[in-house]
Amino acid sequence: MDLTRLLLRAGAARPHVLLLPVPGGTSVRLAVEAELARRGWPLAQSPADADVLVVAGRPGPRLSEIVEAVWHRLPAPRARIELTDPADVGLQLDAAAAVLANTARQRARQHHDVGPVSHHAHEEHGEHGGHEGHGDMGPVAGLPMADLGEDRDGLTLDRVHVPLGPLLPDWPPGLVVRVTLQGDVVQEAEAEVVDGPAAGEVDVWAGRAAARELDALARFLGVAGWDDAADRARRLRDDLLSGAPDERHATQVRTLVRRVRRSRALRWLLRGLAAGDTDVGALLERRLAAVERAVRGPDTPPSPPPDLAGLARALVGADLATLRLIVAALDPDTEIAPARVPHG
Amino acid sequence: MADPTAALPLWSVLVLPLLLISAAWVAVAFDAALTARARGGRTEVAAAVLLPARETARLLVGQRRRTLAPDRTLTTTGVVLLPIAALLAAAVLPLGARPVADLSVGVVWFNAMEVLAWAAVWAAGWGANSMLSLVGGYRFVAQGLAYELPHMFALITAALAAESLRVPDIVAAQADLWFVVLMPVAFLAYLVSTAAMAFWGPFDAPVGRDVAGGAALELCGIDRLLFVGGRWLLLVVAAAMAVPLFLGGGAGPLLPAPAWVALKTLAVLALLVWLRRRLPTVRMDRFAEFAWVVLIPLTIAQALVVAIVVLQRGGGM
Repeated sequence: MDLTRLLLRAGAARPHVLLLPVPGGTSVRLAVEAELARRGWPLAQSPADADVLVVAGRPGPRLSEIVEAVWHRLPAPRARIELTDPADVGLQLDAAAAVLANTARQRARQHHDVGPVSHHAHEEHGEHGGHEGHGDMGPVAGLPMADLGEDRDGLTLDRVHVPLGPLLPDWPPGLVVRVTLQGDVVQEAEAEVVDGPAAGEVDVWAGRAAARELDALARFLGVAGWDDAADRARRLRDDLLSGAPDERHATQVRTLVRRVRRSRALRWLLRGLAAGDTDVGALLERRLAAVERAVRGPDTPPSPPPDLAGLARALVGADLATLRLIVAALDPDTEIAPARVPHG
Repeated sequence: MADPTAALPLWSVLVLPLLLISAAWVAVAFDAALTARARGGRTEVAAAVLLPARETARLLVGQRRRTLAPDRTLTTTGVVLLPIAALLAAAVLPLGARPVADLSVGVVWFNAMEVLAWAAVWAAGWGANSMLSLVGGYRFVAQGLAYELPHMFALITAALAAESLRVPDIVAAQADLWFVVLMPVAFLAYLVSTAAMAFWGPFDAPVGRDVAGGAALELCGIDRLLFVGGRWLLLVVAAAMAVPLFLGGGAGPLLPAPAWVALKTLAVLALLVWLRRRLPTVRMDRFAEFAWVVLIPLTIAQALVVAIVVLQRGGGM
C-alpha cells in the first residue's frame, strides 16, 4: 500500500516544526532556529499545522502538562522531541523525520488517540480561550459562556477571559498573559511566567548583547508581519552567534536598523498605538537604538528589560493585535523574571 | 471559422483547473525561493519546485483533527467554498481570446464569485470554535468592508470605458490603448483590493502570525489543503483578471494570445508574491481608514474621468 508510504516519505522531506521554547532553553531554541533555517524547514504557527513538536529546554511540572496538551493536538503523522543540548539538534531532527516517514509507526499511532481534545487540554495555550470566566450561564459543551461586566463607558458588555501563551509564534518563552476582553479590547491583564528557570541558570546572552537585541527585533518584526526584515534580523543574529562579530556584520546590522527606521509603511501602522504611558513606535525606536548601541561595542550594558507588572499595565486598553506588538516590543525577559504579578 | 469571441468548447472546463493549478504551482515555488533566500538557507531550485508536491502529500496523509464542539458543517462549507469560488470566478477569464463561459455580465459574475471568499473565510474561522481562529474570521469581515468598494469601482471603471460588462468586449476596447494607461488609479486600486480579497500580504491579518494563523489555525489534513490551496487559486485568478481588465488581454507581438495571457498573468502574480515579503501586515483599522478616505474617493474620481473620456469620443447613449 504504498501510496501511503510514498506520501509519508514525501511529506517527511520537509516537516513543519512547532517550537515550544521553555524558560532557560534559549540556547537550544537558537540552535533549532538556525538549523531549521539551514535545512529550509518551516516553523509551524499552530499545532494543527505541525508535524514535529520540539520542546526546547527542560520543562517544569506545569509546562510539562502544557506540552502533553499540545502534543495531543498535533495531527498524525507526528513526532516529538525534547532537546536540552544544542549539540543534539541536527541528529534529533533527523530522527524525528525518520519517525514521520515510518509507515508502520504512524499507522499504529493513528489508531489510538482520535476524537476531540478534552477540555483540560485546551487550557493554558492561547489558541483557545474563554474557559476561565465562570458567569451565571451554564457551560456549553463543557465550555463556560462569556460573562458580563461594565466597560469603560459604563455599558454592561460581554467579557471573555482568555489566556494567551505560552505557545504563540514570536512569544517570550513561558509567558502567559491572562486578559479579560470586551470585544477585542483588553480590560484587565495579568502576566506570569510558567515554570521560570531554576536559580543559577547560565545567561546565554552574557556578552552577546547585539544578538539578544536582534533576537527581540526579529520577534517584533515577525509579529508585525514584515517577513523579509524579520528573516534578515534572525540571519544576522545567527551570524553573530556563530562567529566573532566583525566590521562587515556591524555594517549589515546598521543597514537593517536604518531600513526599519525609514519604513514609511511601518511608521504609518504603528502611529498612535498606545502602550501604557508610551506608544509602540517609541518602544520600537528604543529597541533599534539598543541594537545600534550593542553593535557599537560589547562594553555597553544592556538596557534593563521591563518587569511583568509594567507589561500587564501597558496592555490594558490595547486591542489584541496591539497587545501582540506591545509584548514583542517590550520583550520581557522571562528567563530572569519573578513570578506572578496582577494588574487590573 | 467559429466566432472568435464565443466561449471555448466544453472540454475547456476540465483544462481550466489544470491551468490555474499550474500557475499556482509556479507562484508557490517562487514564494518558496524568495523565502529561502531571505533565510539564508539552501536555495535549491529543485527544492522550491518540488515544494507544492511535498506540501500536498503531507496534507493528504494528515489526520483531520477535531477541536472541542466545532461546527463541522460551517468549517467544511468555508474550506470547500474557497477553491470553488476561485474556479467559478475563473470561468469568465479569457484564456487567449475566449473565456470558458462567455457571460454578458462577466465582470459582475467575477465579482460575485470573489465575494464568496468573504463568507468562506469567516465560516472557516468560526467553525473551529477557537478564539484566535474566530478573530481571524472576523478580521476578514472587517477587511472586506475596506477593500470591496474600491474593488467594485475599479472593476466598473474598466467596464465603463468598454461600455460593456462582457470581459472579451473589455479586451477588444483596449485595441488602441491599454486601460492601465487610461486609468492607472483604477489599476492600482485593483491590485491593492485584489491582494486584500485573497487575504494575501500585506493584507494577511486574517491568517496573521500574531494570531497564530487566524482563520486557518485549527485546519489540518485535507481541510488545510483546500483552504491554503484555495487561497493560492484565488490569488492566481485575481492576478489573471488584471490582464483582460487593464493589460490588453492577449494582445502582444509575435507570441499567440494564450502565451501573452500566461506571461502577463505570471508577471502580475510575481509582483504580488514579491510585495508580500517587503511590507508589514496592514492593521485592519488603518486599512479601513485608508480605503474610505483615500481609495474610494480616488476610484470615484477615476471613474468620473473615464466617463468624461467615453462621452468625449461619442460613446454612451
